[in-house]
Amino acid sequence: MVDEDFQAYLEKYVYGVADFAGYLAAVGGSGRLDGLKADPEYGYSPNLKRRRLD
Amino acid sequence: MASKLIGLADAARLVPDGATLSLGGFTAQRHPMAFVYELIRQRRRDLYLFGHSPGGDWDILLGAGCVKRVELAYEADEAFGTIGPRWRRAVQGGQVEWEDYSNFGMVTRFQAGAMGLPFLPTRTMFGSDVMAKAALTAEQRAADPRTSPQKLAVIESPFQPGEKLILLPAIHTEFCVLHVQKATENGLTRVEGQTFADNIQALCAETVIVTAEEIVPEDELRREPERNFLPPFAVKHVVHVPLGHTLTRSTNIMITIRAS
Repeated sequence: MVDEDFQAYLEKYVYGVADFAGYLAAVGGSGRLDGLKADPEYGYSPNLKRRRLD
Repeated sequence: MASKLIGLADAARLVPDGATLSLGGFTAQRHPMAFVYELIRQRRRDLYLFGHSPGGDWDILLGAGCVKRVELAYEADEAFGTIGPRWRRAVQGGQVEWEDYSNFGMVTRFQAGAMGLPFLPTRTMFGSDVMAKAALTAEQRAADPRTSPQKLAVIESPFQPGEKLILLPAIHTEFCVLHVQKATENGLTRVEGQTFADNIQALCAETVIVTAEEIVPEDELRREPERNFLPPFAVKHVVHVPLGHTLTRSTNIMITIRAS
């Protein structure tokens, strides 16, 4: 990650939102976050769709 | 029961520029990220961080220019790649003052602080460059009375002639911030899954701030007291922050989420 990318990240996800609720909305909101929640039986999400980062 | 609940922004405002601080969690797990983002939003500067195995929490603080000096074992986060990229750049660019110990060495230092001792003896670091070399200069150490005057000391055991031991200096911080799964309004705290050194770090701090996924009635945590982690008298402030670990992992809550 180059410096410009990191600054863009900060601007979008930290400085660009008013509070943590704004951050959670920026990273996908409740729809995406609910899909990552742990199954109480396993303690993690066994059906998570993993994706490559490259 | 006295409520210790405060808001996240108010909690972050308690930590002034230049404060000494340790954060809970381990590499990519259960860091108090919401608190970290709030510190950055409030443009905190010159923080002095102590940690054994920080990750994305420190990396983002370092990248945002919030940190002046750190003492640590390593800073790594497999969510971003091995060594934290902002940490690497800060060290290579001379933008942060730092000192490193072994991982066990840093936890030993926290343990000394938690026990109220000035130092603890150990064998960790013998034969390694983290013993042989120091990153902070004598001038840098002298410039901040919160830094130990020397990195370590080697002594001969008073009980076993010829046996060498390393003494590691205790850590004391003004603040420790942890993210936990459950807390009561008065600060009784439960961590689910791995606890790392969070409770030891807490006992080294003057002020402990807990951000909690869930605020629960005290009766609920008292039913299984052996699972509780910190007593109310060790916790000064409690902040209700669901998903406050995001983008790190937390047992029973959620795995890593990346902003992309």
